[in-house]
Amino acid sequence: MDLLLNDEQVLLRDAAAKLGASRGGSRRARALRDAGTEIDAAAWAEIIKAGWLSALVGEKDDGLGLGMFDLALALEETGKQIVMAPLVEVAAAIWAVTTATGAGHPARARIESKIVVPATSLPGQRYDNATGVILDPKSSALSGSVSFVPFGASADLFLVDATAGRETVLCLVPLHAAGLGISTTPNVDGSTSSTLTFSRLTVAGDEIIARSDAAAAAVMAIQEILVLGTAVELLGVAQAVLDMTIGYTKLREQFGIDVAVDHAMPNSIVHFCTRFYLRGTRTGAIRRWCPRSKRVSVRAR
Amino acid sequence: MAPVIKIAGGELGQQASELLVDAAGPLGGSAADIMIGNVAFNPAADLFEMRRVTVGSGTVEIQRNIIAKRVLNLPS
Repeated sequence: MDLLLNDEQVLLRDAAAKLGASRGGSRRARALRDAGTEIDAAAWAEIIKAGWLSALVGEKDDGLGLGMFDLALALEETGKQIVMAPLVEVAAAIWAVTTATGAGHPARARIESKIVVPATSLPGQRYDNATGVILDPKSSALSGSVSFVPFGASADLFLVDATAGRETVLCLVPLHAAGLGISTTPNVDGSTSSTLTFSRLTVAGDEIIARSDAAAAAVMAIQEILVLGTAVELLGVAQAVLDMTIGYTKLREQFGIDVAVDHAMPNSIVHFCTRFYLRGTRTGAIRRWCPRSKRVSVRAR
Repeated sequence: MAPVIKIAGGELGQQASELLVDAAGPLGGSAADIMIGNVAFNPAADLFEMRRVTVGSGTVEIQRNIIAKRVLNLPS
């Protein structure tokens, strides 16, 4: 019995753990990395089937009606097994598009069954010299670039924030849009980092999903979801590493003596455990702090 | 003295490599080199390289045991 989780949450966590056990693991992740594949197709199909991508979307919008805490349960388990899939990225983008648009907005249909990833950046948090993305209000054309976009080599659509005069605009850009350039570099963990370059890319009216304060609020919320989600995934990774280390320490012998008995190893292990649990508890507090159904008033004008 | 240098040097090298990865921000995990002027540099590769310095040629735990026994005369 889990005192913190209700039955529904226990089921969600266990389903994610099962997926991780069957579709995860460091060996599988290395094989995907070496093959230059950033998304595990089999794991991704199961994630779509489970409906976790709509975890943050309300039930009235055909989502699961859960919240960040529930999504975090899945992320922690998939993180433990290094499942190579853009769960938090796509969940954040789907949440933003659904929250920002009305029921009949064409953007909702466009993202259905698609890999849509955020290509957003907060003011003052750029790590490059790029000017950012600018939308010319007269021609409705995007120019500029955005760096460090995850899963850029596999995405079908990008959710891009741009500056149009004094206001922020959030829009969808399809992979094959004329004027979109994508440059992708691999990361050591098998993920990738892409730079999107926009050369007078024309944005249709129904591809703009939010403007002004609503768009700025959506970009901020996307960032929060990504940061929290990534932190929880890494918590899962850390837990798995700790479990692996403890398991190995129980087996390892050196000079005929168990290292867990006669060396400084037990002290080091306990030191890491206490640090981990203190940090894990903080992350748990963050997860619980998240509203069950995170809502931001975002509506396209 | 060698075990002390081994411990201090190894841990310092690891901390420095971790700082470089942090300082590189989102480029810290890149498998490709970063160009700083004409110099190619890879913080992640440096981080991985520095992992072994506290393991190879006797782990820091072994070095601490040596100091405990031979310098401090602590019992085995």
